[in-house]
Amino acid sequence: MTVRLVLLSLLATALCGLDAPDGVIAVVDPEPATSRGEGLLSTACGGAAVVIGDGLALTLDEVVPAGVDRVSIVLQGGLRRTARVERRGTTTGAILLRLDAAGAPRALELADSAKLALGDPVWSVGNSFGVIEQDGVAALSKGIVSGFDEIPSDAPPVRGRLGRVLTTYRGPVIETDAAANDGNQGGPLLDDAGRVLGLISLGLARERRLGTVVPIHLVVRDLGLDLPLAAPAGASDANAARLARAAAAAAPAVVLLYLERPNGLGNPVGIPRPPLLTDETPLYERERLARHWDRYYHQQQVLYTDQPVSGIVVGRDLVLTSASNLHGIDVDAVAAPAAADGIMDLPWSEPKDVAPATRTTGAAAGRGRVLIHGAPAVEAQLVGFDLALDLALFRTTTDMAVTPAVLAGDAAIAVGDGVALVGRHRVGGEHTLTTGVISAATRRRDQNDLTMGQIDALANYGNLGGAVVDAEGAVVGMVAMLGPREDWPWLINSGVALFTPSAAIRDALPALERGKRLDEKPGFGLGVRLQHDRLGGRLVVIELVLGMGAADGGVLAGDVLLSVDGKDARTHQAVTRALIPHQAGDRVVVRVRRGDQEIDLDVELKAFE
Amino acid sequence: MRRALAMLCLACGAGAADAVDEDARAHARKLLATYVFVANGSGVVISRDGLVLTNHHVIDGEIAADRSIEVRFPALDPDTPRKDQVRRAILLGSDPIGDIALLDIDGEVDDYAELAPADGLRAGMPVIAVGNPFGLGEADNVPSLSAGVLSTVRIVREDYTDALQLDAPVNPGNSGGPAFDELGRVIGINGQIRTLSGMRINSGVGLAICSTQLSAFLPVLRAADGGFVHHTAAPKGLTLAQRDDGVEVVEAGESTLHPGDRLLSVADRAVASRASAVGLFESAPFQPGVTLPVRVRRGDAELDVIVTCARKTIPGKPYHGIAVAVADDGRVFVEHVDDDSPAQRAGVREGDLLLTVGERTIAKKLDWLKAVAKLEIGDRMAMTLMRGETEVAAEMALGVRR
Repeated sequence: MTVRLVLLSLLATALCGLDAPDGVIAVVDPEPATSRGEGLLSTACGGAAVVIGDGLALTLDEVVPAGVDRVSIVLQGGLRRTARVERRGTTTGAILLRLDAAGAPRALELADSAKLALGDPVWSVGNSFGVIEQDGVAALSKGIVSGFDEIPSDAPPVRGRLGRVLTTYRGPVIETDAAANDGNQGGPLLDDAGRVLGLISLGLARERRLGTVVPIHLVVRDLGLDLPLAAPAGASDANAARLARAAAAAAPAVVLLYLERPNGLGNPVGIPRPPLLTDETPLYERERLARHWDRYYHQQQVLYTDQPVSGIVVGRDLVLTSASNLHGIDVDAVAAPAAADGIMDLPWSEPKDVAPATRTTGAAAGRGRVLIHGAPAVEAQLVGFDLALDLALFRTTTDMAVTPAVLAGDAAIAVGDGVALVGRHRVGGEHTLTTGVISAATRRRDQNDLTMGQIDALANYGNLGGAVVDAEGAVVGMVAMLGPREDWPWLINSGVALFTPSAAIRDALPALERGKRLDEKPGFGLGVRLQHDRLGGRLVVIELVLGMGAADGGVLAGDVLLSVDGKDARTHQAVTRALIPHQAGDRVVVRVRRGDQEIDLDVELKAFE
Repeated sequence: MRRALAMLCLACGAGAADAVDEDARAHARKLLATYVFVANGSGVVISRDGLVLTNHHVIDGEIAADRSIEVRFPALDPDTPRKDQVRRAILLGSDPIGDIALLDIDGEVDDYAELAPADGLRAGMPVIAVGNPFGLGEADNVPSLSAGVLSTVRIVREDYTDALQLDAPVNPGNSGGPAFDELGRVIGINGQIRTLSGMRINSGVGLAICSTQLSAFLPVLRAADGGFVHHTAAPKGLTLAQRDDGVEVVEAGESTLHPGDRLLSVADRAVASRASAVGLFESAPFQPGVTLPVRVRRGDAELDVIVTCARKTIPGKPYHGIAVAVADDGRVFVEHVDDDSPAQRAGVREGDLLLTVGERTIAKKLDWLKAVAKLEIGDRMAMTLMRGETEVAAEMALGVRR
């Protein structure tokens, strides 16, 4: 058995691997910047280019801005050369470079990006964080074609960290979940056979927020190149092909849900955008700034209310989404929805048509509109929600004529299973897709017994409420924003996304249909704030919550925590673990050291406010 | 409504047998079994007798006074009741430069993973990372598994002088955890994420300390007696410059290289830039007189030069925990010893009179200051003390002042 597994996987490697192509090179500032992040590129390192013919290479204008006609290049292996701009494209921002010296690396072939399919395996290859410049090797990252999008002509200019406009390209792009970071810009996206599908743009994809790629067939046309375009390799990886098929099968039941938010659009809570972190930022400012950015991004994710969210059709007139998407909605008003006097001004088509000023306030809580792919939109009303499971159920006013999603069986998932995350990012477009594996099948956040699933597929804005699909096309769960912990919110594209498993969804649906409203997250504890004493490896009580069990039971600030319920309590983890078997209302013995004494205290576990 | 639910359930279980890759599940389970939770990060068991590799930065500040730290085995089976699988481990040695720490769990361990040899590494090959991202496993003892590919073979990234880059999602809490190859061998210990935004989250660029460096440092870590190990460094005075055709020796310093030499490889790894050359000189465990092979181009010839390395300084202020004072008779005595300090663990007591430190006789306070001024973090300080009528010897490894 083991031997067979080994042989199979070795075979798979031989078929699916990609030899790092030496035709991917780094493009760097001809005049070295005085410090990182300054100078020509406005990125922390040089960009990339791909050699496509005898001494010719392709890159993008975000690597070689207008007005620059000579650049330095670094070949894999570390040799430095120069190149000059031979031709600039007019529509794609593509640039043709001519390498000065002979002995250019082997050229890569091109593939016809117009024939690319959603879910096809792809590779990003580039100079990520300067790896070609420093180590003489290009870095590979594997992903899939996650979506096809079109950057609208009126999209705002995208600037680098130091303010320079990075890209002016407007038009079709390929989206991928392969890593795209500083140093990938201008470099290639390759198919499984190592052919160039497009040039990676950072302009619209900072730090792996779905890399965006300018298709190579448009680049070739723009530059007037006479180069053959081979058929893309497609999914030579059987698993990738199967997941792509499964996602396509499940996709019709994944819809966009546009919710009316009484508080209006955008960021209603004011955490302003923090200043940029640059090399000139003083050291003492950096930590504070980093925390500010953390809070800002968290707000962006939680309160990003002017975008539609994902939903899963679970009945002829039922749409399920994440209860976290109800943020800003007055759920107390849901039980008695106002008559149709509220002015519904939700979009019937493209979400971007909606201006903030058209929003209503107040009574029309819990109403939304379901935007169905290839069909008219229908109105929907919130009927029930469960914050513990992070589920919210909407009923549409008419039959959606969409075949409901197939929910997988109870024991459907195990760690290591391949999964696809299906979403939609705009009306009328195809679905979007990221793939990965089940990271954990029995995730529990805290003392409550809710068991979640976890995947490593990238989950972006709008994926909240979307479907996690197994290789057979069954929905194994719904992406939930049950943040890992209070202080670590759900983070986009972190490779850590939790989902409510289908078994829990199935259990919860009848009650949700009857109008269940569980708006309290269960939570209980001692009511102490503890600080780790680093030298001694102990926890010290630094604060007591009034009205909670610890304060009432006689715990004092300054006490050193020794055990809880007879279990060692020297770390935060140990305290959490000691409380898992308990529920609110239980009493536990807390042993503390106070001065020279060890004292046992009887403490009630109370629910948090 | 009943009908609707029945319809939803139609496919329950159907086709499940076909969809499930039991081999992949068994493989994942095997990998998870070698994982341990360490402090707020991760570790991996690499031998039956319980050796655990993790990052220095994971255990830094978390080691108790008795040199021990708690490690936790994961809960693998949700159907059996979870029991606390907490074990104590002793810190054998730590590498603050290369970010490796070696722990030893008391007793034998059933599941462990081997370190992968260098020759199996290939960019693009599948890798699996196991860790505790965002501390998610704190409450449930369940580690997280993520999959991706190896982005590069062995590279130099600042102090990670023998690193692998991978695109499997890694996040805070993955630190110290393993990256596996397809055969379940440890190819590296995940330790860093490269990001620009200030958000410490996965960017698709994770850096792991390569198994080759782990293997090279294992013997010295085992013998470190709970203290620090050191890295080599480029010979003193060696000055390098980046040229279009390679890295040039500008000044040879205390090395046998010649000015004008072009460095081709150091420690049998290719030199791609000045930064990589400097890093490669720092990639080996230090011991006095240690040499590294350097291949250079000199004129038209390529030749191998054996270069004696310097020792890389561990940054920070060395810490012994002793405060001295001068007695009325002018002799120097220990006025105070910090709790949990190297001096306290070495048995130094308040009131001891200082006789010698290293080779130096301590007659006045300046002698003491001179003696300690030459010592760096990780150095051993040997003292002789007079306690009452008895002469006492004490030896300690200097730590880091916090």
